[in-house]
Amino acid sequence: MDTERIQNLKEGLADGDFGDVMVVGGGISGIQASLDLATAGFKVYLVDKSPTIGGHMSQLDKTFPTNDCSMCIESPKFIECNRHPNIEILTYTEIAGVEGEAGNFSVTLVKKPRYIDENKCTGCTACVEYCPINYPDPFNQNISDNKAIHIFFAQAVPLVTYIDDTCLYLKEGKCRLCERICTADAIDFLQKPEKTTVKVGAVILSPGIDAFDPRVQAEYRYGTFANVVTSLDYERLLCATGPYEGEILRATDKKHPHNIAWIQCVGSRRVTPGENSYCSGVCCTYTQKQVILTKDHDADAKCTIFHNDIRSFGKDFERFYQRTAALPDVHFIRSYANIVREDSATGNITVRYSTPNDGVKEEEFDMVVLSVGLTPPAGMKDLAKMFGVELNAHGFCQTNPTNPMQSSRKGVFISGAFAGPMDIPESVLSASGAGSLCGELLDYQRGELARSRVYPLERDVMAEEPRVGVYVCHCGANIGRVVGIPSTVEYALSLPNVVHAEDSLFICSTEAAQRLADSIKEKGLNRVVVAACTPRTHEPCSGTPCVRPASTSIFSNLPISGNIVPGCIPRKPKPPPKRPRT
Amino acid sequence: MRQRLPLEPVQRLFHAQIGPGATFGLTEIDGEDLWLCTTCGRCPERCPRDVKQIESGVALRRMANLYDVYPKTAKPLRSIRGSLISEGNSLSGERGKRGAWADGMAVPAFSADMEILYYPGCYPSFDPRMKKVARATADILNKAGVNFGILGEKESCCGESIRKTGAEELFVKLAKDNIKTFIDQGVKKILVSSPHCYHTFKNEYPDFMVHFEIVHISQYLFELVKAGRLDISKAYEKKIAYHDPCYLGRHNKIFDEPREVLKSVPGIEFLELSESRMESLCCGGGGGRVWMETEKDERFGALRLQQALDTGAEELVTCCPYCITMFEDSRITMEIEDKIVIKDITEIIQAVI
Repeated sequence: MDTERIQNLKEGLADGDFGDVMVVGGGISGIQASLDLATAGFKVYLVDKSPTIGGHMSQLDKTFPTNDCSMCIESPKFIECNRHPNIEILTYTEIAGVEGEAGNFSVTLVKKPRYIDENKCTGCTACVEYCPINYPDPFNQNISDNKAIHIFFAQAVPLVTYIDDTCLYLKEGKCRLCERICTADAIDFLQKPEKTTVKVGAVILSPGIDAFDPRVQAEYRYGTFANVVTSLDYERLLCATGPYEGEILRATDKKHPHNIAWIQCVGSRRVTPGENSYCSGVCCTYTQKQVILTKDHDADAKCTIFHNDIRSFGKDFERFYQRTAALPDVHFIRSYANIVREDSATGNITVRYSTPNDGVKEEEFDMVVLSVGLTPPAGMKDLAKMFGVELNAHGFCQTNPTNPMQSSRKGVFISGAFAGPMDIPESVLSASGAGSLCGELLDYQRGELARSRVYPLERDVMAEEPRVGVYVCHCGANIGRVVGIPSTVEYALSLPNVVHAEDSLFICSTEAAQRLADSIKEKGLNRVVVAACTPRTHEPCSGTPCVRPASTSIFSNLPISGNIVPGCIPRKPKPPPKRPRT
Repeated sequence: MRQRLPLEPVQRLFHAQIGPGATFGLTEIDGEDLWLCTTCGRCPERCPRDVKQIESGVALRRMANLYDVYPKTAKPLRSIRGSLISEGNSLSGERGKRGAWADGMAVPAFSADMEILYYPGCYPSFDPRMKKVARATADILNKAGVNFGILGEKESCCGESIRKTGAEELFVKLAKDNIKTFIDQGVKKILVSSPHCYHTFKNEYPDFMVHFEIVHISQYLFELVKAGRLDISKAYEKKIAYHDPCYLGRHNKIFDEPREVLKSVPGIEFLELSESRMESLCCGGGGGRVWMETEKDERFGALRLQQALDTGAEELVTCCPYCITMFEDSRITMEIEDKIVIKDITEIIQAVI
C-alpha cells in the first residue's frame, strides 16, 4: 500500500521534483550523507549555496593527522556524487521556505542566477581569460585575484563558470565580452533567480561552519597589520593551488617568512564580547599540521605557538602533537598573547606574552597566524527557523543529547559541525549516522525512486594483446615537486605495450576523468595505469570512467593505481633552499 | 620604568600570579602585591576567561583585614579607617565642618521639597584643592537656577574605596548611615562630584534594597547644556585633553557626556589622549591607592600626565576628585607645573558662564 502511495505521488508530480532526502550543505559531511543514502537506494537532493559542492574542506591544504592532501580525499567524492544516478546536485541554490512534516516536506528553493547555462558550458575557461574584471578571490581568502567570471576552483562540481556580481555588465551595463568569446553560447545574462519546490521525506542539515572573523576584536589587528593572517588564509598560502602556488609569502614584501607565530584560541574559549566561550576543538591540531607543513616548506623556519593548553584529542592526535613539538626550532609557549605593534619599515609584528618565571616578554615575528575558531555559519538563525529546529545558546543546532544527529524536529537530521565544532573525521562519521536515521524513517519507500547504475557489458580482454594507457598525476604540486612527471610519461611510453601516456594536473577532476574515458575509447586501451595518490581514493574515481566508456572489460575491472603520494614512497633528501632570507 | 605588562602597566601586579597563588596558599597575605591593584577595571574588561580580578583581590584584602596584617604601604589605612569611623570622612576632618566648603555661598541645607541633593563627598568637602570644585559646582547650580541643597555634617563617606581595601563592615556601617539620612531627609535624586560615590550609590547601595536616582555632575551638566539652562557667554581659548576616570568610564560607561559638555564651550581645542575611553589609563588613585604611597617610577599619574603633554594640551580636564588629587601630586613631583594645568570640568564651565 505504501508502495502504491509513492507510485501515485510519483505519477502526480513532474519528474525531478520528488525525492527521498534533501541534504542542505554540500561540504564533506553533506557529500558523505548523500553518497551513503543514494547508494542505499534513496533519491537525494544535495543543495549548496556556493557555486560548487566542497565546502571548507576544499580550501584546506592537508588534513590532520595523516597530512594527506585534502582535495585528493574530497574531490573523488565530488565526482562520485556527480555521477551517482540517485543524487541531484543543486548548487548556487538557497532554501526559501519549508512546509509539511516528516515523510512529506515541501522545500522551496531559489537558484541564484549563474548567468551561465550549466548544460551548455564546457568549462573551457576561455571567458575567464578575456574577462577584464579582477576581484579578490573568495576561494583564496581574498589574497589573490580572480575574474568576475570564473570557475570556483579547478575540481569544482559542476565544472562550469559563474558570474560574480562584480561583473561590469551587471554593475554598469557594459562589456559582455564573455558572450562574444563563448563558442558554446553558454552565457545568458537574462537569467533570473529561479524558484522551485521539491518534495522530500526527510532533511539532513549539514551547513558546516564559518571561520571566526577576528575583525570583531580590534586587538587581533587582523585587517590592520598586513602580516597578521588567519589560519584559513595560511591554509591557502600553504596550498599548491593557493594564491602564490604553494609559496608562503608575506603580503607586505612577498618574501618568505622564517619566523612565524601562531596565536591559539582566537574567538574560542574567550568570554569577551563578540567571541565564543566554547572550545573549537580543531585549532590545536590544525596548527600542529601547519607547523609541520611550514617546516616542510622551509626546514629552518622558526615556529612559535602561543596556546592556553593543548587540546589535541582524538585518535593519534597526541602522537601528532609530540611529533610537532619534537621538530627543531618549534616552541610551544603557554600564554595568552597580545599583538602590540607593526614595524612600519619591515612589516614585522611584535607579540607580547607572559612567562611564569621571567615575567612579560616581547618578541618580533615575520608573520603571525591567528588560529581562528569555528562559528555557526551566517544566516543559520533563518535556516533553523525555516526548518523549525532549535538552536543552542552558541547558535549551533540543539541536538538530542542521546542522539547527536537528531534535531528538535522530526524528520530533520543533523550532520557535521552544525551540531557543534568538529573535525573532518567526526563530520563524516555523523553524516553516515544521519543517513542511517533517514533510512530508518523512510524505510517504507526505499528503492522506489532510486535508479541503479547501468554498466555496459564487460568484454573478456585476457586473451588480447595488452594495450596499456598510463596517466600520471601532478596532484597540483604534491607529486609534481617530488617526481619528474614529464620524464615519467616519457619513460612509460618507451615501455612495451604502452600505447598511450599523458600527465594531468589533477587526475581526480571531472575534466580529467572525461579525458581518461575518451582516450580509452579512442586508443582502444585494455589496461590502464593511473599513477596518483592512494588507490583507495581513486578506485571510485578512475574506476567508473574506465568501465563506463570502454564497453570492454578492463583487467579485473579496475585500473592499477600506482601509489606515489609523497610520504608513501622513500623521499629524496630535499636540496638546501635557495631562497634569500627576508 | 619597569617593563610594561599586556594589561597592566606595572610588572609587579600580576593577577595571574596573585589569584591562583592564593588558591594554593602561596600569596603572602602581608605582602605588598595584594595592595597594588587600583581596581581600574581594565583586567576584568579584557579578561578572556572572566576572572573577576577586582572581587578576588578585594577578597584577599579582607583576609589581610581579618588578621590585621599590613605591609608598609598599606599602614596608613589604619588611621583612614579610624577617621572614617569617628568623623565619617577619610581626611581626618571634623564632621562638624563638612559643610564649611560652602561658607559665604548661597547653599541651603537640603529639605524634602527640594529637587536634588548635592552630595560632594569627602575630598570636595575637606581637601583644599577639591573644595574649589565643590564651590564651582554650587556656583553653576545656582546660576542655572537648580533647586538643590546639601546635607552638611549629616553626610558621611560613601564607603566605596574603603570597601575596596577589604573593610567590609565599615562600608556597611557607612552605607547604612547614609541610607538612613537620605530616607530621613526625603532624598530622591542625588547629584555627586565623584565617580566613586556614583558607582557605589548606583551599583552597590541597591544591595540594601534602596534605589535613589543618581546623577554624576558630568551627566547633569550635559542635561543643563542641552536644556539651555546654562548661559555660556565666554570662550575658553585653550587646548584641553580629557581624562576618563575609571569609575565613570570603564565601570559605568559614561564617556560621551563630559566630552559633549566640553565641546559645547566655544574656543576649546579638544584633544584625545593616546589611551582613552575603554582604554583609559588609571590615575593610580582607585582601590584605596589614593591613601597609599606609590614608588615614584611606578605612578600611573605620571604616565598619564606624560600622555597629556604628548598631545600638546595646556590643560588636563577630568571629573573625579581622586584623579585630580593624583595628577596635582605628579605635576609637582614631575616639575611640570608651568607646562600643564589640571582642571575639573566644573571649573571650566564656571569660567565661561
